[in-house]
Amino acid sequence: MEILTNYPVKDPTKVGQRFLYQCNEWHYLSQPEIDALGWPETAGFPAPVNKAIFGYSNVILLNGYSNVSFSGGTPTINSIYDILGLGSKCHEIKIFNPNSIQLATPKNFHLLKNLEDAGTTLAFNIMNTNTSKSIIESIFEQLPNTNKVATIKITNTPEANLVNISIATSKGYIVIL
Amino acid sequence: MQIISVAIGTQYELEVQRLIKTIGLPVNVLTTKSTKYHKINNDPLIDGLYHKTNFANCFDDIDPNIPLIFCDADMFALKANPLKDFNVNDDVDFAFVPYSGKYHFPDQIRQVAFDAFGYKINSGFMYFKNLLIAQNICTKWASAYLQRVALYETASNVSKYEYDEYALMISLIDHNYNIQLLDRRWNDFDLNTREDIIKSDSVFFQSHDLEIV
Repeated sequence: MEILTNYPVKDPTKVGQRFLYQCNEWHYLSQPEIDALGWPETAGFPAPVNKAIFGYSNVILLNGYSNVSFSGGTPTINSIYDILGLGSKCHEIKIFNPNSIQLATPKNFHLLKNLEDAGTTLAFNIMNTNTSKSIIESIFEQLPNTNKVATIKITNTPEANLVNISIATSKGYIVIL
Repeated sequence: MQIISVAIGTQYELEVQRLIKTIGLPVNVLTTKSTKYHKINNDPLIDGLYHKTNFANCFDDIDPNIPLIFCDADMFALKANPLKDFNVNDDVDFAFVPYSGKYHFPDQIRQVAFDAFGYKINSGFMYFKNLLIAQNICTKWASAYLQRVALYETASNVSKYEYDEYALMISLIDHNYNIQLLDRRWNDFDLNTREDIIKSDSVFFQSHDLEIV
């Protein structure tokens, strides 16, 4: 089996093929497989074969190839910060990480097309983390436009007041500083 | 003090029983069996939230001169006699717990409402000086809520999942009420793990995790 050392990229010519990336087995998804997941992607999108669910049954989060810092995850410095997850509704993605941890390289936030609040339960909460301005703005840039009520809370992140909020609000999100 | 709640739907009726037990005082509850309940929407969430926004106009037996406390049905306390220390200044008309943080919206109407207050209102636990003030607020609140409901099918970034609080703020942009902000201990709505709630010194919490049926 092929072993990749760089983050895998989409390749429609490899649909069905499997490979190893950071000690985990991945495959290139076919269009029906992607459609079944409800992801806004096209054939050849790479994803791990085994996906982990971190306490939210409607959210599929990538686990294992890197240490992602979601609730229940074990963060390490400079984690790739990857989300592969959707569902009919996607309430409350919370990211927890100690302030000593610097998350880096957000991936695949464009897949979060169903983020939506439910009253006081916010769609996306990264408050009280050490997430930097550049990472937050990268997440904002990757997120898809939304016509739902979806709130992102970045309160008490070290550079919250410097973040270009309009990247997210112009896409339809509410942002709480 | 008169305690009011709204429990539209089976699960909220179950939840409000927990509220009644933990409050230890009579709670006047609006349910689908109440004489002033009139179904206004087939969606149980919208129907329930409408009756919350209009609660002060849906009871026949509220003393008009005694202050009211509205509690969401999913609230609960872990301390005996939880309201024994509750008080507001004598001249206060309306009191509630604010959310923290500065909100930035994709639309003007909610931004204007937020900027008028400087915070978002949490409607889970609210004090009203008397019935007339509660009725005036609720009449405007319910009207604004129904206007939001009318936008659900047509406008972006408006849906039933915003619940009732933005409607309350929009309805009160030009208010003249004397407002007091309550400490978070009166509704520590952000706490949702058993461990966090047990070790908290707050008085009231909310469970939030109901499936509406």
